[in-house]
This record gives sequence, C-alpha cells and structure tokens, in this order.
Amino acid sequence: VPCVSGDLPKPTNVAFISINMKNILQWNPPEGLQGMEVSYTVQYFIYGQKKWLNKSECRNISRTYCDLSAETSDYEHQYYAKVKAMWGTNCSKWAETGRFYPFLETQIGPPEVALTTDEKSISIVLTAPKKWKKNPEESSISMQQIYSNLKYNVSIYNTKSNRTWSQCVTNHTLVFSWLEPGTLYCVLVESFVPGPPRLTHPSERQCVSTLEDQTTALEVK
Amino acid sequence: GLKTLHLGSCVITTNLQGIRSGFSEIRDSVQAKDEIIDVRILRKTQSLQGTKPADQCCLLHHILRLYLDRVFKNYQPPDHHIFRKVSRLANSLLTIKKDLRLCHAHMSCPCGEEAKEKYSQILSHFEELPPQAVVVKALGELDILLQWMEEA
Repeated sequence: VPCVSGDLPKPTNVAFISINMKNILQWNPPEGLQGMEVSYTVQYFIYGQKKWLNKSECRNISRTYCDLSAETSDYEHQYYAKVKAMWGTNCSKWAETGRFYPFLETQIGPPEVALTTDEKSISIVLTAPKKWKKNPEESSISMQQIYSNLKYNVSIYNTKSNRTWSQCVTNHTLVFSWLEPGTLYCVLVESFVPGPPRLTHPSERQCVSTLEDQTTALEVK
Repeated sequence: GLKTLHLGSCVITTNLQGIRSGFSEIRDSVQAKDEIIDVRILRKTQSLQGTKPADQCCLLHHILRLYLDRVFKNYQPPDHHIFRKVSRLANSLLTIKKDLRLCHAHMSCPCGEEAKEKYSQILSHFEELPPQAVVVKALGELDILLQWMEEA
C-alpha cells in the first residue's frame, strides 16, 4: 500500500557501523516517534551504478539496523544506503548515508592474544582478526591479507608499579623481558592500519602473573 | 611514513599516508556536494594496480595532470579550511607529478597502449559531466586514486 511520503520525520543518525568488513546500517527512530510501532525499509546503492537496490530482509522491519555486509562486500567499491520510516499510511522521506568506502572505513578488530610467562618475561602471540564472512563454511580471510601494513599497538601494565609500556609491532610474536617475578601484568592490544584515522577496537584486557623467582624460593627452603 | 611507489621501472617515494590523512579531513564534506552518484570517474576497470607495471607510470602521470590542470585549478572551495587542505593536496600531487616527469625524462615512463586506452576511458567519464559538477566529483574520488597508488 503506497504511503503518503513526507508526513513523518526521517530516521536520524543513519550510518554504517563497520568492523572487519561486517557492515551494519544503523539509525535512530524519527524524532518524537520513539516507542511507537514504526517500521522501516532500507535500500542501498553502489556508487557509479545506476539504481537503488532493495534488501528484502530489511523491508518493513521494526528493528533499527540492517546487515548489509553481503551487499557491500566488494570493498573496492563505495556505497550509499538509505532508510525510510513508515507508520500507518504515513511515511518519511529517505534518510541517506554519506559515501561509504569499506576499505578505508572499516574498523580493524583486535587480534587474538595468547600469553605465556616465566619468571621475568611474558611472551605474546597475536593472531590477526578475521574478515567477516557470509557463511561459516567459507574459509577465513585474515584482515592481514587485506591490509598488508596491519600493525599492533601492544600495551603492558605492571599492576604493582602502575607503569605501562607500549610497543608498536608488525610481527605476531613478541617478548617483554626484564619483568619483575611474581607480579601481575595486564596486556591490551589494538590493531591499526597506518593512514587515514579509523575508529579502533582494543582487545579485552588480559592479566597474567610472572612466576615466582625460583632462586629465592630455593633459599627459603 | 614515506611510501615507495614502484611503477614499472619508475620508482618514487611519497608521503602517501600524509596525503590520505589530509584528504580524509575534508572527504565527507567534499563528497556530500557530489549529487551525481550514478557516475564514477575512476572505475575499477581502469585501476592503476590492474594495469601492467610498465604502463602504470604513464597512466598515473596523465591522471595527475588531469587533476592538477582541470580539477584543482577549477575547484571553488566553500570555505578557507577546505581551501587550505585542497591547496596542500594539490601541492603534494604536484610533487609526485614532477617526480614522474623525471622518470619520463629518463625514459622510464613509457606510454603503452594500455595506459593510453585506460586514460582515454577516464577522460571520457570525466567529460560526461558538466564542468563544475565534474570538478566536485573528481575531488571526491581522490580516496580512490590514493588507494590505487597505495596498491600500486
């Protein structure tokens, strides 16, 4: 049933939230219609092509987000998306995003972080984050394969002395030496790609204790 | 960090990261002025990285000349902030173009059929549009050109 366009205010803050190429279109309900039974319809556009395309799973939906990862998966292309609100027989005009360039804008998620310790050092092994994939059976693509210049900012915090070091690395294994035995250290890692600024997503903070100093332990016996 | 561009036998270094960061500051406002979203000037089929190395220098040289002679020269910035950013971008690209001209002088920037063909396609996309609209669109596509250079 065609609706009367323009009688409703538009959805607001329409934008792509993109992490590791998982591209979600997100918006806020129109002003004054929060909590009402509003439904939404989404369309997207590939820059340089000819027409707006429907996303069938995001037609007349009540949620305020739509996963457009599959539709925007060619990250050398640029995209637009738009959403309109409907309530009864009224609907809003379209609210549109700016030009979205996944390759430049996607946030790089944190790597997986594995820690092992001995008395005076902590070894860290990093595994690059994985690119979004359409279905689980597909083989995984590492974000490193897409961004060859992917780097990591590794921070280590001594909970006893409250001191923090940071180190920027490109390889996936590193060792922090000359640490204090029997001390709790916490590690935080952030992936980043040199170039235009992007939002970042630090890893969960992981804490581990260095082993007790074996020499003093022996003397005590 | 400086980036070394290997364009066939022409090798130049440039602060590509600085240029990209500079453009990212004005990208949204420049692209917002481009309302002709069903036309793209720099298309995947003419990409630099999809061109054989020997022709990459010539193709980039021609694209930069197009930008410097017909985009930056005719662009009317809406405010002083954008004017300053665009001027800095133009100067950076001018430096790259001068380096490519040196390669040309040393016979390491040949123009083969592929470069000529791809550049003429880009030019025809460029000339499809009215002058002021195409200037805004081309400037908005600098992120594509810079990405091509990053991947070259």
